[in-house]
Amino acid sequence: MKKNDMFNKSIDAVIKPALQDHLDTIEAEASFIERVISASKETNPYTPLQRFLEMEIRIPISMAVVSCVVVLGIFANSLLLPKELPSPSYEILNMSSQITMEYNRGDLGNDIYKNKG
Amino acid sequence: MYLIGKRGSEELIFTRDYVERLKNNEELAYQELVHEYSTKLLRIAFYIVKDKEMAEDVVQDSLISLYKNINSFRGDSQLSTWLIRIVINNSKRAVGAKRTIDFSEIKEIFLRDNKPIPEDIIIKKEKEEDLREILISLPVKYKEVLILYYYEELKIKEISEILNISESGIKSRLKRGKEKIKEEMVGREMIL
Repeated sequence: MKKNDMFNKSIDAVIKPALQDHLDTIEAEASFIERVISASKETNPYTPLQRFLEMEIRIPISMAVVSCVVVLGIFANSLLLPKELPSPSYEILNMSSQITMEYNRGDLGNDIYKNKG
Repeated sequence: MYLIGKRGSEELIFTRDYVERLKNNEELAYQELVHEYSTKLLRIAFYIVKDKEMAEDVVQDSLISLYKNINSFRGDSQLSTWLIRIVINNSKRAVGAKRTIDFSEIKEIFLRDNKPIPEDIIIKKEKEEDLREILISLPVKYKEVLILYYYEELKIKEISEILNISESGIKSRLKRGKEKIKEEMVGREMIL
């Protein structure tokens, strides 16, 4: 038998008696039992509403970190990267109409008249 | 009539009936529970917190907490499993992050009766005291497993349910706990 196994066997044999020696002297005294019972008389079991209000909500750290990063990301994105303003199409139409007008009453027309003259 | 100490399916059946009585606010049911479990819970709490008064406070809080929350007990596990879990959690909370051990205080506990006794008995007694000292000074994570396994004689599966740790985790803690005891014994030149 290995030395380690022998040790395990002998330690198994001594732990229980050692714990018994230490703990068997501890007894719940009558006064303590009385105290616990009387303490319960001052209280009542929780109603479903009280239970709900007392409920602990535990959020895993990883989950909390991920949601913080996402929220920060959205916030930073709106601060640092402003979206491109859409250029309205009527401006282009307006420009083209302006060009047309220029053409109608512009230098080119005058040149024709000049040539004729 | 107390049947709470029974194990296995019989206890499960009794637990359901017993929990129903507690849910119906039967005062006698709570009194039976306190009488049945107080000593057992006190010993577990005492081993972890190392102070009887503190252990009493822990057990009282745990029993009150069980009474208040009895309606949320679904009956999936045994009532004793649930109670021991509450006591261990409250004991750990009471101890807090304190890991230092005052050996002088522990020695005082064990050296109360100093009657003149033969030398071989003194040596044996010293050995036992040393071992108990080592057992008390272990970190809480080993103590909780050791007391449930060796003192309460619970199965690995039951301990796993109480502490909410996998069975392999419990086995590993038992092994590490024994190794720690061995290290301490070697340090004190103790022979089994």
